[in-house]
Amino acid sequence: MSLDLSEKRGEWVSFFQGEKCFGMINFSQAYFLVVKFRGFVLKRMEEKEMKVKPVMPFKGTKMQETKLMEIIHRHQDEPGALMPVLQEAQEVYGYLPIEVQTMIAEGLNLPLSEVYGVATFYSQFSLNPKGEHRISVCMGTACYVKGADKILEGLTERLGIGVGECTPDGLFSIDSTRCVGACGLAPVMMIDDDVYGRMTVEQLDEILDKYKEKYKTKKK
Amino acid sequence: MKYLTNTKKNIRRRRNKANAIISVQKNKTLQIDISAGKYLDSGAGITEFAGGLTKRGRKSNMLTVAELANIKARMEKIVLVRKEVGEHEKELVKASGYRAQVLVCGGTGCTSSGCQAVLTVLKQEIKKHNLENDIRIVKTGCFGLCALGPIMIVYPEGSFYSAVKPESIPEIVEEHLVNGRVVKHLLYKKTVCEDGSVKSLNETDFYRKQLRVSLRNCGVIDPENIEEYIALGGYEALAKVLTEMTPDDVIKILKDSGLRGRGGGGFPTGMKWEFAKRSEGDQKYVCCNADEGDPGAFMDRSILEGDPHSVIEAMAIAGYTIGANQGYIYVRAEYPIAVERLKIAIAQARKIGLLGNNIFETDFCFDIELRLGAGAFVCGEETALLTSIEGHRGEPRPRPPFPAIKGLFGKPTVLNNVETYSNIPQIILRGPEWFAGMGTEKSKGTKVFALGGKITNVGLVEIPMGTTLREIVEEIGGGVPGGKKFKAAQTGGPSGGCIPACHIDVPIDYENLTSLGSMMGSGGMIILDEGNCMVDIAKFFLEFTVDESCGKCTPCRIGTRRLYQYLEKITSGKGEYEDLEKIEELCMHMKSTSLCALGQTASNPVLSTLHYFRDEYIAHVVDKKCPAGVCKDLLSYEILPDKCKGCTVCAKNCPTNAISGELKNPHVIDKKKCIKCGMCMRKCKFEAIVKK
Repeated sequence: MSLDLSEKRGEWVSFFQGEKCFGMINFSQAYFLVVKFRGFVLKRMEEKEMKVKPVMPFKGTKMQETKLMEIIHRHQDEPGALMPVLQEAQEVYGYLPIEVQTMIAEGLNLPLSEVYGVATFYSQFSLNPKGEHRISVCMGTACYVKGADKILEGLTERLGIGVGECTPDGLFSIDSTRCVGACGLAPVMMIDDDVYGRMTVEQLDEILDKYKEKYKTKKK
Repeated sequence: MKYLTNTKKNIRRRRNKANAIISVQKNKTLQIDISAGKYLDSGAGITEFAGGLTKRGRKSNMLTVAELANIKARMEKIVLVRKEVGEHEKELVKASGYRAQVLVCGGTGCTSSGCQAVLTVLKQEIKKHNLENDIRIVKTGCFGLCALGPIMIVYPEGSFYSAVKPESIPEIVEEHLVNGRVVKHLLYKKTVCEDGSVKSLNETDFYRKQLRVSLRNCGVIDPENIEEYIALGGYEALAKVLTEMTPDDVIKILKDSGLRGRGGGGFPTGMKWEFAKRSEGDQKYVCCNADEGDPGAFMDRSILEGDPHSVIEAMAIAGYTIGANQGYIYVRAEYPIAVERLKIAIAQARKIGLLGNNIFETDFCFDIELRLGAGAFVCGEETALLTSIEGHRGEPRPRPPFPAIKGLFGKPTVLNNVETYSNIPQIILRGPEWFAGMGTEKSKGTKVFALGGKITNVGLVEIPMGTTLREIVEEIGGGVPGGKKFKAAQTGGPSGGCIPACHIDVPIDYENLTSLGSMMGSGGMIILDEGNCMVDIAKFFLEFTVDESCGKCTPCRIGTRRLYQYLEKITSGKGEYEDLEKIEELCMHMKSTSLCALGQTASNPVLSTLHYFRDEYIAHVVDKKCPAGVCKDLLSYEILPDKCKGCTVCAKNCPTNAISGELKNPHVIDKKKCIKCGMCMRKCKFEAIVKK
């Protein structure tokens, strides 16, 4: 079975099979279908359409699964267990692919739709894997009035990816976060747990190079 | 079952009064155990404590009022040195057992600017000089002056070292701690007078006008050590409530004090508790809203980081008052330090029996569970927060029924903000009259503001209600840096509005801010100067609410998006005059028809800027100019021929080769090629490039 997405209209895409149009679906639904049913193949993408992110195959290990089961077991009887379970599951896997969500749904005896609903509602949960180094630019008001948008722009320009995306080599991903609370140092950028305060666009190259260098030496 | 057995034990103990005396004597052995480890590190604090308790050999960890007083008496000596530096200084220092105490700020602000490295070097240096037994190092919560981090204070002198670098630690240890000479050139500049004498921190502009009630312990005690909290009267209010007062007494005190919710709405806390107490239910809950999503606000975080026990104590008081035995703290996951300290605080309180069964030998049982938010602004709204604790998408519910009637899991629930809670133990101890004596007629007490944006002293300030904006901006905040003019103060975040410079003398309280079209909000105060475009600021907040609208009700989901589109149209130079009227109409509909406060107040940033800065909107739509020079599409860069030296720096740096000209001759910008990145202006050394 093939899924053909074309003619992006806002956030909606039409859903074709062969020549027959089945109607419009939301991008996240399309993404959901692609991930859930591997049989679907994205056939034709016209120019200027959204770039369908390459779906990273799920690489969960047995150990991660045991950990997840342990987490589910620990929270099973608590009222309102879903959020803590998702949070801890994300710590184990780094993100929440549909496979993990399915396991949680089964473990907590909830419909998958509810798990998916919660996972997509909160910005903390990510359905896509993150880069080796996670860059987050604080977009709180204090940072914004001091020019955080320029820092973000500089980053997307240099790395060639948008907010919420990951570089093809898997090294960096960019997020814009809400206030990290270091307003005295505005504008603030974080890479993993390191905080870079009083940022200027000019400093970006140096900082990014530092991480690239680290990556190279690690590879060698 | 557990409850019953504990009650029996309880009765038995009360009968046998001699027991209490024995336990006090046992406590003396405990003293030695704990004070043997002079420096209590973060993790070590608990383990040592646990060790002490097992040595005491008591199966139950119930703490009596007498024992609480014992801990207080013992720890007071150490902690008071940090509070009262007066004539009793010498006696106090002697009693404390430490020659000096070094307080290092461990709040998020200072952690970001590297306090951990400072602490490591400090410990090494102290070890090197063999001062470990004479000097107590304490990692505290936020001092408030986040812009000057990392911050370090040395007592008994009260010397305030700001922007401390690890390199300067050896000098401070050598000179100050060993030789007793204050290192003046590393002190906070404002504490050093012109004649070279050092004045106390409380006399500096930043602290002088402040009145610390909520933040009373922040930057004074070690938040990871429950004993330091007890030393300053901690848990005494809980003891008083449990042993001497009825729930109705508590409600009366809160009502008399005039305390109102500090989360934004300003609902009287006493009334809220009374509703919850009156509602029927087999199970009730106490919740704490620590989901501080308002961008640029960090008051709650600082309280949780600096004084987590005050919140726990107040929640227990709330539990006793309304008849609940379970509490939840819903805290943002983006605050890792606050979460960590809360976990430690809850564990310590459980360990010595201030949480759990039969607190202070009464029938009252209470426990607290921590729930982490997952980054949704709407969860700051009370019903959405409760839905989120239940494990669902954080969507608000229609009110009524209010949470006090039907809240968490459908049971009566009291939900208050962190700052509200942290006021309560003080009100119980010092009486409602004391609290009502501060503030204005309808707004009592103090309010914490997170001062940020274009201001010299970025940080946390607590002021009595009724302080004017001018005092905050010019005196406490130290004015707008760079010689620019103050333009407006934004309060209340995405739900609030702007107070323009013409209203700078307004006393700040709930009513005044609302009548100015803004709101108290949770307490973020962002100062804007001439360089900020008000349309752009309104757009920023709308972008935020579009992102954070949960999507449940249409006026908010679609209204915010449409409003954002209008603003985008205006800032990109395509706006028309009629758009302004359409915006006002749309705002009105959103206000009256949205389900929760998020949608109802989402239009405030637009309405208030449109009201006070209409000329700026008109400049955007009619003249197609951005007076502040922020909106890119309305800008153009030009080179002033008489200033340009023809150095070619701008041409070399232009990413689109839009600048041409010969060496040593004035250059020109090709406006068709220019992408308005501003690089040339930043690179020009002669200020020859201007944006219009």
